Amino acid sequence: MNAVLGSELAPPPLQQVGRLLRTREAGSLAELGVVGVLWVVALRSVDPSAMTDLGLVSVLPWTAAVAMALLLFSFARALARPTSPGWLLTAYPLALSTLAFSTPLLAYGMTPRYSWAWKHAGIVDYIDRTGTVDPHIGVLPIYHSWPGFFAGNAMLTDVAGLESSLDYAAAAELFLNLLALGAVLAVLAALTEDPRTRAVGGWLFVLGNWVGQGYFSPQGINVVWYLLVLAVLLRWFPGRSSLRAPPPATPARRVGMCAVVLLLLVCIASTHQLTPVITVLMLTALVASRQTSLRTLPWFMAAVLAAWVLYVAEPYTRTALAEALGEVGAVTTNLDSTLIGYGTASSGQVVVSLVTRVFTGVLCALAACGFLVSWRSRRARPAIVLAAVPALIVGFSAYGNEVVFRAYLFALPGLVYFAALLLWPPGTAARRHRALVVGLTSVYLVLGFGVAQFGNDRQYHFTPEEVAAAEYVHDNAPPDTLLVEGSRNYPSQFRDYERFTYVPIAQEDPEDIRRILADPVGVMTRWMSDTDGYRASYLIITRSQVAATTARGEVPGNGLLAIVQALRSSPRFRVVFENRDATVFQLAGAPAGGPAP
Amino acid sequence: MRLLEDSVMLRAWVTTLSGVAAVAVALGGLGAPVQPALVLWFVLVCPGSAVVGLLRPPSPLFAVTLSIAISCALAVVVAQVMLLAGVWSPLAGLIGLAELTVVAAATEVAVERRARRRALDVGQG
Repeated sequence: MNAVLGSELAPPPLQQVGRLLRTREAGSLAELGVVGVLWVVALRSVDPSAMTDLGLVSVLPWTAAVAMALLLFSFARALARPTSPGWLLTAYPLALSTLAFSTPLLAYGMTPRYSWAWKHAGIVDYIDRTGTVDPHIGVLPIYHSWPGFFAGNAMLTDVAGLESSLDYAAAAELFLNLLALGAVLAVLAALTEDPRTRAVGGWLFVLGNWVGQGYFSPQGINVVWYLLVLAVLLRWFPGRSSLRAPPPATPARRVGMCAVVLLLLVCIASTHQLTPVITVLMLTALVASRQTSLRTLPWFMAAVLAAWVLYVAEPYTRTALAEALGEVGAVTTNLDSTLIGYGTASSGQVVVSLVTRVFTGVLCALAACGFLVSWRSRRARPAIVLAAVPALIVGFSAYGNEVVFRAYLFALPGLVYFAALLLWPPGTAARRHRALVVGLTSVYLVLGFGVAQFGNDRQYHFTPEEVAAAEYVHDNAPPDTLLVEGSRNYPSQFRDYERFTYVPIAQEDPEDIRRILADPVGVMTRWMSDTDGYRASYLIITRSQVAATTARGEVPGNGLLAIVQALRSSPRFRVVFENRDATVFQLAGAPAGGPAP
Repeated sequence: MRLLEDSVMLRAWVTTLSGVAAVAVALGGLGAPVQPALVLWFVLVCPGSAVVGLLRPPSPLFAVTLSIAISCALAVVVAQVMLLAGVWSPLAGLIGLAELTVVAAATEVAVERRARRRALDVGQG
């Protein structure tokens, strides 16, 4: 009798687990687990060397498509269920971001994407070695005037006992993108109370964020700080016109929040060049439109920024500011140089570029429709500021061709809020047909995101063989070495970067490139035999350099491979290092490479 | 209330011990995998977590995001000050971050205890 009573009161553990699994939240979590396993299995089987110029999507197996389809289905189902709690809905954008940004780690291992990540590691290495910065340095001086990100990483690398920041740089992509999503969800929480609208907004932010700024870079962490400043201002220090009351907090806690904002603003001003400009504009616009009660913040930020630019970064500013100011306002020129040349780019890259434009256009159109249905509401006002102000920097052109992408990235939180208003207006009950619309829209956006985010990966990812070749040069070259490169797109400048003078062939004038291709041996001999100026000369050509120059049409045909062939068969050059993906040449008469002094 | 105090104490202990352990392994040069794991965990999460504990953000996701972002900001500020002042010393920077963490965690515990005492006094009064 007792036994029977016992089993009625407390079901056996297996039964408990079964009951838990039958609850709908557990079912959703199980689906997310299956998606994760499928994604890992799919990505581990990818062969990056088989990639075409359509990027990673060209080698993804069918299991990846199944995983993504299951994720979309599961998200739509959770949206449609009236009982889905907020935390579960938030878990979907987080899962999508984890999947998307763990992809490079799974497919390419701990070798970071983007050649810029390697340059940033080079500045970290410089500070780690010397304990100083040199604002007058000849190569990459801008980083020495805004050294915060690099100094922080140099300290971290040193105390963690790591050899280099490259040991963890590849993981920064996942880390920073998840942080940015967390910050965007906080901004969305300040704009709407509806968990479904917030989840759809976060989901769209992940898909819309194809710009690729969330990697091992100062701008990666700056976007997070910028978004958190906005989230704190809109939530804790709302203006008179705000509809939501700030969360209950003691005066001491409000002062603490204010101190956090000031800390983040100082970090923004001292670690990056473009983010502080956007931040000043955004703070001014928020104060002018009465969206925040901290009315002195724009002055504070402007003062910190001015102090940094005119005092700490003065050596850089003096030379670069005049040049930058000369280009401000040249909107048309900036737009032109931002877009790839369709006449010279490879066909796959033209497709990638077209898909990216259409995809971005669709997202902006969704936002525009969301704006049209909601612009009369007072609720929409802060989001209008968030979406519109970043467009002002298109005229700020020290960034030349990248500025449009950056403006889009900064506008994205506002854009996704409006798009989310269209797809899931706040206060809408959970309905199947609405969830179906979100699911179907996401199918197109996921496809567009895959092409836009990973479409350049044939040139943006690097193999261990390429890294080995670059390490050979860095380990063996003495100070004052001339390093001729096919292009800047390969793992370079990550160690002892100031020892070299870099001459990328792809950055020569088209006329000069034609001259090099007509007589590679003659031109390279002339360049590399300057013994008065340099103690040694190397030429390095790698797979990703060839991929980049062919994709962008910078060097006609397979020009870099033709140079390798010509030099290989010439007695004037010798191959000092080679493997499957890279070749390093020196002049035949040059002394054999040994460890650098 | 009890649960809240427990979570405050737990966070204070975790952040403080992480700081002490990170300094210890960095001083001892313990090497991979313990040293990088512990130091990265401490520098990227704990100082901000101790500070954010004082502010009580309403959502756990926001608290975690803000903790990590503040930790990164504090690391950047400490490293940048050392760099620009010409006193570069990564270990001193780590010790500075650990001290800051301990102070923030201790302040939170003290604030929490005072609030609890007040609540008890009000209850008894």
